[in-house]
Amino acid sequence: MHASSIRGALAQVFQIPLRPTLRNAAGQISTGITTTTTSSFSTSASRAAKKGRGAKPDQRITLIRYFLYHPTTLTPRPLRFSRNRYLRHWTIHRAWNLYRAKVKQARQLELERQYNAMHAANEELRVGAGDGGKLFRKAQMKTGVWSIPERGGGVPIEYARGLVEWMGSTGGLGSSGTGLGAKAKIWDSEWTRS
Amino acid sequence: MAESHLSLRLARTWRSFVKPSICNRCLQTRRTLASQASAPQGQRDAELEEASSLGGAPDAGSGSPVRDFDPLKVPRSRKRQLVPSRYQFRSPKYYRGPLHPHQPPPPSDPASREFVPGPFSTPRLEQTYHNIIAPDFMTMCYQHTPPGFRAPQKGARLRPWIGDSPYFRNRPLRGPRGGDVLRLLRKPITFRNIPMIERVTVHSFVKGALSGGSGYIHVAGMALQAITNHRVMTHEARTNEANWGIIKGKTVSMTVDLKGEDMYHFLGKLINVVLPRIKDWNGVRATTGDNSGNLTFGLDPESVATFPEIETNYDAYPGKMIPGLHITIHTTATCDKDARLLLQQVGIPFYGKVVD
Repeated sequence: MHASSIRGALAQVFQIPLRPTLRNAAGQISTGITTTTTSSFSTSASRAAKKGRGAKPDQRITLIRYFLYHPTTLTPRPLRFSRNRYLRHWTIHRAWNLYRAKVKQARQLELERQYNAMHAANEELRVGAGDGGKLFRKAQMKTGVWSIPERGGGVPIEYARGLVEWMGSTGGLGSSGTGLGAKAKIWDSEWTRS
Repeated sequence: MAESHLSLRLARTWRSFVKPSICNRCLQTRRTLASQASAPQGQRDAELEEASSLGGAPDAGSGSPVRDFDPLKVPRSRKRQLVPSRYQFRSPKYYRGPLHPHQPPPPSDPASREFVPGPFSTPRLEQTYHNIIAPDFMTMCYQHTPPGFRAPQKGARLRPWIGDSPYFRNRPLRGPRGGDVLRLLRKPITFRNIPMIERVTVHSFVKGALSGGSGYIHVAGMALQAITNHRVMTHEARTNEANWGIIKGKTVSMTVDLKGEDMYHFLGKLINVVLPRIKDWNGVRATTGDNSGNLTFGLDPESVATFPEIETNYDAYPGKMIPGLHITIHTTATCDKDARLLLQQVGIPFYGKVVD
């Protein structure tokens, strides 16, 4: 209480916007809604509750409001760099852009190489296989590619599961069992529909 | 034996006392300035230059440029003062058009108000997409065309008005066949147009806010912010809707648009952590989509609570106020079946009827 009054006085003197502290934010909002003035030695709080003047709001919502509208969540002022630091930033930025362009180009070229290889293989299959193109026709069939596994096509779910197989399956909360790790288990293979 | 060990150790310690910092081998190989000067020429490498380039001309006396360089001469001789190091310029807060003399800096400039630092990580899903999913997608959808093949030309999608009526002249073209919607064309998949996930929109309609006060909005906003790492955008009702209890101008929903790094992190959490833990969930309905490659599905509040950010801090949220979500995944595919195939590869299961 004392510290906050000092803060308030200083804020008036120095024209500083007074940031709500955690304590007085919770106090303000709760007192703003239920206006019961209780001195510390009084027992009128319980009487006020008996009268049913209004339920106290959930403290968690108060806290969420406090953090949601805290001044630090506002847009910060623009970063101002000195000359050298700005040039450093600019150099790094250009280098990063160059690197990303190169990576993108490499990916594109790799895909193009694969596509051309597929094209050549299919052409060979069509003309040079010597079976009248039967194998080629088989290879070109797209039955069920755009379907779903339930209908006997599409991509099986294991395709994507395999990509995370080596990730900690307990979410980093220890080994599986009955503790926290078991609760955080991502894929429960033993689970059956009960 | 023990005595010999002891003596050896003693000798070692004694030696270390005598020569505290320089060992024998170092002493042999150490080259001082004097030893270097007196070393025989035959041991030197022939390709090594003797003189250092940093030293300047050896025989130049006081007239050499190195000696004459005075670092303070240039700034003293400058007539005007340099621009201060910290640039005294306030970028305009709003963009006022291309012809305005006061232009904001580009977003890559840290002084710009739109500057966003990052990216700070390469999400696994992004790497997976570029290394595995995209080549596989291209392979699955490959359609062979023999060399010299030319696809038959189709007629114009929007036909002109043909007839004797004088009103047909200069009339706008006829609408598309079979409806009002001119759908996107699907071009054959090549290495240039493999679909990828463009952005993700997370939307939450907060029903409790209609009657329960602003607490619902705040809790939902905080939950979404925690999940997506972005500030939410709230939306007000545009019309009155008596059946749903919607009042015009009241905040009813919120959205978050995710792109890039945040999007991949969100999708990674969703696919690897949240979706597998939903009990009795068949998957996303296969008929979802808007015919242009954007698929939507929903999550109920119980599933939203299993996002790792909320689950670890579950007690901080009022349990009944955690919102449900609608997640729209915008892909660059131009039809739903391509988008569905891509999302299957990413790891989202589908169920039900397939309509294309």
